[in-house]
This record gives sequence, structure tokens and C-alpha cells, in this order.
Amino acid sequence: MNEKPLPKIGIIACAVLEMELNHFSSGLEHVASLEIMKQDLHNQPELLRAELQAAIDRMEKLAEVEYIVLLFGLCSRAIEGLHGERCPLVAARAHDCITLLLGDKNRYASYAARFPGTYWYSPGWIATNTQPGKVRYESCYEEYLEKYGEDNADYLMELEQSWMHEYNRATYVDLGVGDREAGLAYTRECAQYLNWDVDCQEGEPSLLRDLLNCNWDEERFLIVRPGETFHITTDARVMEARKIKPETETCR
Amino acid sequence: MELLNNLTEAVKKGKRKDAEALVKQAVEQKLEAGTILDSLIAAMDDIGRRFKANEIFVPEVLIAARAMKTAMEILEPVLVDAGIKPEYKVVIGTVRGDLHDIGKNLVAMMLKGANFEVIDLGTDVTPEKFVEAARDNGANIICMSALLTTTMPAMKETVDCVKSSGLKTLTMIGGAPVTQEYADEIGASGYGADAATAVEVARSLVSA
Repeated sequence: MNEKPLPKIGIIACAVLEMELNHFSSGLEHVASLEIMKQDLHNQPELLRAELQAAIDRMEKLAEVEYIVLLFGLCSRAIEGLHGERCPLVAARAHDCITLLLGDKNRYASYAARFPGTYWYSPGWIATNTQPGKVRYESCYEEYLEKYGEDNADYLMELEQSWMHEYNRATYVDLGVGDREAGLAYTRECAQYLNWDVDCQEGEPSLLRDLLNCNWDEERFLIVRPGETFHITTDARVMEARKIKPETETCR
Repeated sequence: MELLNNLTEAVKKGKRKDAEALVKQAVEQKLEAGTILDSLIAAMDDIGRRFKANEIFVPEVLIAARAMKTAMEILEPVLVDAGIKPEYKVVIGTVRGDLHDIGKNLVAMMLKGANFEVIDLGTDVTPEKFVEAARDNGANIICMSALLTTTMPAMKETVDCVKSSGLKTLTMIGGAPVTQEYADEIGASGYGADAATAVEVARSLVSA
């Protein structure tokens, strides 16, 4: 198999993929360090970027780490600007974690083109976030009621619901990790409450496995070297490496 | 003017019923329609500024915009009688494949608040539909929104479609993953980093 030992890697992952990461990285001796980022940073790309950079900086201080692997996609462009001083950074060419769960960016793209109104559910999403459904509706209403009064709370919920009416499908995906029956049952319950269709997509772990095992081909992964960063491309490559501009190196 | 100050405050706080009552009073007192409108625009300008500074968030903007809308419904006939009408028209929508409309709705409401006529095409709008609506309505600007990195390319297609149609309509883009750099790359006329900036950019584009 591999003649050379694998390079030592540090992994920074979103909490949404924590269960899958623990499963597929268990026993991997070349994993030198691991950090998990909170899921709610998903809603604040700039903060996510800052937290990721701080984690990268911390990891680079560990002498044995040779590459830093990010279990993130573009995530609303949060990974743009990230850079290592010493270590190359590696990520899957993905818009977000759903590619890592489905195992293929093209599979994700064709599913999204076919069903644009899809809201994704996965073990990690269910564990870390209040996904659309009854519980989310009720807690959201309570908050608005307290802050803005009944008239405005009703209105805001109506808007929230109209947004949800644009979606029409709850799709559950997993990599065989976590309690599938419970995850599916939860997804069904939410879909029923929201009057959405339900679908279940079998995940494909090879992409995540190859990411963790340093099997990084150009087609599926991007490595950015020191002096470079990730940048979005609006084509099937998803992202490319770009030289960091001098002014962004020095700012803040 | 205390009445108009109160009206501005009511809109800012999203107190729809208060805003409605106050605008009725202002109309009954025969205050100049343009001045009443200015007090409403002042409220939305303030909301825009505070939203941009992260002092308030989407729900606050939405309820303020709703109060503004309620007040405008009463004021509009008075404005028409006074010969005051929106000078510029905007066609707005979320691009093809993207169903997210909160940001787009915010921009639409802010533009209305700034006295633009707004034709809202909703979500998942094809390039052709943008062009058709701009042509039919004689719009000055087409505003496009996308929340997803996966749907941003539809903005480029729409800009290309406008150009090849021969229309002189300006194009503006915005949405969480969108940047000025992307606007430059695809040849859009403008980029709005947030709802408040979108209004400023729209104003400067039409007056350029």
C-alpha cells in the first residue's frame, strides 16, 4: 500500500461532522491534533473565518503537524483568506458539509438542481442545531413575542413560515454513523409538521476517508500552500488557490 | 415637529398601529406630503445604519419596514395628489435555483422606503424573466440576490442576458456570499453589501 508514511496532519472540523470524524479518524496514527468548531459559527462567516484562522495558528505551533486538514467547504466563503505560515491547508472541493456526506460534489450539485427546495438533515445537524420543525417554531415564537409583542411576533412567524414554504423537502443523509432510525424519525416528524416531502440519501464516506487519509487528488481536493489561500470559483472546481495579496497579509 | 418625530420613532420601533395613527393625524393636519414622506425615509435610513453597524438585526428591520409599509399605504394617495411619485423603478428577485428571500425582501422594503418603485419577482427567477420584467416595466435597475455559493453563477448569466438583450438597465447584486470583487468580475453595475448600502448604491447608480 503506502510506501511512505503518511504526513502528520492536524484536523479542524465543524461540530456538524464531529461524529463522522470521530468514527473515520479512529485509529489513524498520522492524526497529530484535532479541533472542533462550534456549529453556530455557520451563520456568521466572518466570525467563523476568524475562529478558523486562530485554530490554524494554534495548530501550526505544534511542530509535528505537517498539513492542516479542514473539514469545511466554502461555507458561505468563510474559508477564503485562511492561510498557513508553515503548513499547507487541505480541504475538499465542496460548497458545504453536504458534499462531504454525499461523497461527491457533482452528486450534490445534481441533487440541488433537481430539488432546489431541499433542507438537509444529518446526525450532526440534528445534534447541533434546532432544525426546522415544531420545536424551532415554538421557541422562535416565544422569543419574538417577548421582544416585539404579539402583532409583530405573528408577522415575523408568518415571514419565517413563508421562507419555509419555499422549501419542500427534508432530506436525511448519513455515513452510517449515529442512530439512523432516530435521525430519520426526527426528519420525518419535522417534514410532516412543515408539510414537506421526505427523502433519505445514503451517504458515501470515501471523500471524507480520503481527506483524512491524505489521498488528495486535484479533482476532489484543494491544497493551499503558505502564501496562498482558498478562493471561490463559480464552476465545478468550486475553489482555487490564490496568492494572498500583501495588504491582506498585514491587515489586522 | 413633534408629530413627525413621533412618527419616525414609531416606524423605527416597528410600532405599526402607532405609525398608522400618527400618519393619519399628519395627513389630517394637512402637513406637506413630501415632509411626511421624509420623516418615514429618515426612520428607514436610521434602521439601515443601525443594521449595518450590527446594533439591530433582521427581525427589527422587518417590523420597522412593515410599519413603514402601513404608513405608506395611507400616505401614497396623498403623495399622488401632490404629484410626488417614485422617480425610479427597480426589478428585484432571488436568482434561479435559490429560494431564499429574506434578504431580498429587506432590500425591496428599504428601496420602497427610499421612494423607489419596486417590482418584486420573488425567488428562483430566471435570467430571461428578469430581462422581460425590466423591459416591460422600463426599470432603471435589476437587483439580484443569492444566498448560496451554488447559485451565484446565475447572477453572471443574468448580467450577460441583460447585456445581450440590448437593454440599458443597470444591474446590482447582493447576498451573503456575494462581494464587490464578484460584481466586478461579472460586470454588474453595483454591489450592495447589506440592505442599507443597497439603497445608497441604487441611489448613486440612478443619479450617475
